[in-house]
Amino acid sequence: MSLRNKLLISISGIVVVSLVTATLVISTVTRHAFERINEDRTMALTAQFHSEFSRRGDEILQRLQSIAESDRVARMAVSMSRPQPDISVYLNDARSMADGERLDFLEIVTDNGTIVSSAQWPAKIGYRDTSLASPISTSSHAFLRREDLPNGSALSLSCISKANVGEKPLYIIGGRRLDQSFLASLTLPPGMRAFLYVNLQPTFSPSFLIDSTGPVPHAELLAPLIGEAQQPGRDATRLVHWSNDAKDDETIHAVLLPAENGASPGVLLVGASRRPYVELRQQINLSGLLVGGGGILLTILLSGWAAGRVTRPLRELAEATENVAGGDWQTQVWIRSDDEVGKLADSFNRMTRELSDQRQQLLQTERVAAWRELARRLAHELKNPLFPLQLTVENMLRARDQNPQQFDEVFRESTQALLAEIRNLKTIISRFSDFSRMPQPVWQTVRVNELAGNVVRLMQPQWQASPSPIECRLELDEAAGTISADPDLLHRAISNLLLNAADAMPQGGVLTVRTQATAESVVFEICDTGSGLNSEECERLFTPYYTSKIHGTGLGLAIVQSIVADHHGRITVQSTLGQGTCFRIELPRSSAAIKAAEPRSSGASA
Amino acid sequence: MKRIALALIAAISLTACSLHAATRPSYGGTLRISVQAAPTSLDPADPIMSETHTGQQISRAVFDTLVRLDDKGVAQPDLAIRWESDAEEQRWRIWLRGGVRFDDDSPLTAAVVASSLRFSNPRWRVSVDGDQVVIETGFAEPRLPYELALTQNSIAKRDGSIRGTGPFVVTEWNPGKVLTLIARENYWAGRAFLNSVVITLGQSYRDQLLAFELNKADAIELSPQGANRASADRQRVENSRPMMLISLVFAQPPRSADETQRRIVLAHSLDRTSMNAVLLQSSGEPAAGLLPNWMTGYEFLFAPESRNGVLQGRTDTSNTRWSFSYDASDPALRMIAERVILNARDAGIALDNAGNRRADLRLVDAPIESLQSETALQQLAQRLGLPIPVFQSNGPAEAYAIENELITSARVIPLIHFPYFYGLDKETHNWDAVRDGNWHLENVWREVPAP
Repeated sequence: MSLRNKLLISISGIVVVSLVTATLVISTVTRHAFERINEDRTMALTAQFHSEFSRRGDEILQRLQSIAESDRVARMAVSMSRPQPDISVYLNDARSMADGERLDFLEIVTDNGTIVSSAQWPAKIGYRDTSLASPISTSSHAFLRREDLPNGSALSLSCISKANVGEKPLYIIGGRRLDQSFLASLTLPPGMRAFLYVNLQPTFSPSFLIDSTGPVPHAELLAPLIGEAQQPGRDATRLVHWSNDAKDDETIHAVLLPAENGASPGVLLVGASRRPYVELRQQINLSGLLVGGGGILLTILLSGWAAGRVTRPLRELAEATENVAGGDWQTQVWIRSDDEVGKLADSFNRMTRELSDQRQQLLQTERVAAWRELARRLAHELKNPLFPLQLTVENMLRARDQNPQQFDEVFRESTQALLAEIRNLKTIISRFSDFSRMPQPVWQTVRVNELAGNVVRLMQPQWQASPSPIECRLELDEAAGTISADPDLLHRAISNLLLNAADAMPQGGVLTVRTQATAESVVFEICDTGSGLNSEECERLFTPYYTSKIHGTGLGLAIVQSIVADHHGRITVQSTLGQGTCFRIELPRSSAAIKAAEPRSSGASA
Repeated sequence: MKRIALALIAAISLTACSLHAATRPSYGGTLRISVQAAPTSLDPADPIMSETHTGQQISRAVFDTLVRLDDKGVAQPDLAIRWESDAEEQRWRIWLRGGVRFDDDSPLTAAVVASSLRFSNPRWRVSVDGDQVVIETGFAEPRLPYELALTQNSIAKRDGSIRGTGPFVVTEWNPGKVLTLIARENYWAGRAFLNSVVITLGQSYRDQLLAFELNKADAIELSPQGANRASADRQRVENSRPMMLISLVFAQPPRSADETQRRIVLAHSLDRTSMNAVLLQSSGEPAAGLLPNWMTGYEFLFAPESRNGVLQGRTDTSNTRWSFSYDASDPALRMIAERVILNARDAGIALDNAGNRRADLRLVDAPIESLQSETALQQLAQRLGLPIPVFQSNGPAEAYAIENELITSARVIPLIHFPYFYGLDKETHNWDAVRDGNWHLENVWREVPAP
């Protein structure tokens, strides 16, 4: 990844993290603030509802007092004070009184609980209701009462009033049914609704939870809240998720309603919709997202521009460095500023100039050293045959002066020796000549295994005739196929390696010629079981004129390396002292690969 | 002064004549009756007619029976002038009255009578022997004449329409709404006093009372409360003896001894006295037996406290829940039903209102049509869906044993014997429903204003 991209990512990352953190902090703080406001609103609405509820209770109490003070009840009370009163005449009185005062439930009872008239269950007339507390106490506020009906039971908001006429008082117990119509009649602020859970069974039953429209769908979601509220002295508030849409959420406050005696038969729930709050929060979130997203996009663009500006001199420096590595020692960069990067560019320019000068000096030194080495080698190589030549000529001169009768014989022997040494000189000179004049490869399609087999076949008789025979093993990969190469040059390179291997095994041994195929290259391996080379020898093995042999010129492996390099391949050596040496030549298979390797041909040989 | 004295004498004379005219039956006039029931059929064999008091009264106006019961419950000739049975009382021969004609002027024949009896009593083998009709019951049936007196055995000619030989003829029939009858001039027992009778059906007690107050009805039914109010307002109220049984009937026999015990607990828990005294304003009688005491003389023996049963508290009634149905459109029945629910709840038994659906327990009002106790018991058993008893003799001991067996079977719980209440205007006379609750429309007459 480029420095520019790294810079871009780093800057963008920092900005994004900062933006997200800031957004989260703002969002959290905002949410908490809104939650607090919403909670305050819910509590205010709940208080308003309680006020409305109390007002309804007061209204019922007033109506009951109106009934208690009516003439009908007064006459009834007087009649009931007489011995053996006939209560059957009051069968329908409670119903008509309840209708007149718009009450759903009304019962007129004596102080011992005997029902004189009942609106909701007329057949209770004359029945003694043992569920009433004795003595019956009037109430100054409304309470919840479970009303038994012929078809079940219902919940009412009731009050008790007393008619003190005659000797025995009459109690007027009445109220309104707490059902969906009662809830619908309540005046509630917008966004608020009331639920009522009629606790007529020991376990929670969803069917007993109603709102102003009837049974509440998914009522089971409120079961934990209702259970919490049913604990004495505890109001409970919960956030209820009615659906996956947060706008449907409601903050619901549950209150256990006051009961006539003992356990309350009802829980009142006041729900405040969170829709306005959620919509506002979503607007804020959307704005935050848009601003944040825009900021991030702008940051990326500006970061890209800034990173480009900052890294441009560095990129030019990197390109210049690559040029230098590629051999362009004259590369210079443009100094754009006088800051650290400018100083770096200046230093680079100065470095390349100095490197170029030093390289020229090094080349000159190497050239001189090469000439000296060449001269030394030539002197060494030529000195050996020249010394016998000198001795032979001096021997001829001495024989002509001292033994003229044997001169002819000496002359003949000496001329033969002279000719042999001269041939030797020619051979030495021709090797130097060959090394200086390596031909360019003539590309042909070469069958790899066939080439290796031919070379081995030519040399095998010589190895078998040796006093210490060498066993040759051919391990040819059938998938080797063909490559583009010069068959003569390759033949020569492999022959050189085979000769070296044979020379490394004067006591005989095993010589292995192996071919291997890969998808893009072919490998020749020539391994011997000779004495092996140490690491220093391995390093200097391909240096021209270096040899470990007594009569070697040190040019054989240099020629092999030259041939492999001309084929855009590479040669490596692995050797272990006492176990043998293994040369490995890897050649590209196709001309396309060879062409692809052209730019790096200078560094292909090892 | 003399002129004033003459005017006073004339006025007193006119008043005396008027009073004299009011006590003497006169022909003519229309009687307008308003009732709660709304029968949709006029066939006397249809249960809609035979099992309701109103249906029975309409049948008696349009159709005749072979036998009728007098005020003492003794069988008297009606369309039949004579009847005989063989020694085993399985084969009955009946001699028909001659000269009787249907309202289409066709004569009453043995074939028509046999056809009518076969229709209303498929279990009988009815044949014609000359002018006589032969009925073979297949078992000893000493009370056959009493059965022939039931309105379900009224003689009807069914030839697409339905025709009777009764004192009145149907002129307008709007099923469930209005029935108009006119008197037959050639009725074999003599023409009825009234010219016509208009019966408005399906009217609630309140609507009937309004119609009566607005002078749109001359005779109406009254609820117990309505009867008390009318009496208090010094209006004319007539009631029968308790001729209707209000009872609780279980749809199935008890499946176990435990269920029998729970049914007995329910029977013990019901406060019949309060039901009658408070809800019905003492207009009926708490019922211990199926038939009222005035009919049998032994009803008091069935009083719950005198029977051997398991008292409430000794039987586990928890988790006892029965479905319960009753006719909520009848205020008296609804009131009794709600009191039954209340008493049952106190006994730990829950009764759930099943509306009009088939229920475990029903509150049923059944008219007692026959004044002959064994026949009335058979009829009640049929009406209540109980096994119809078979009597071997005519003794009260057997009647008591059979009624006792019906009650202890825990299928039926008698509650109240209830009379019929009627509100009548002052112009309607001879409404003789006191004993058997029947209207006897052929005897009713109205004061007809002088032309």
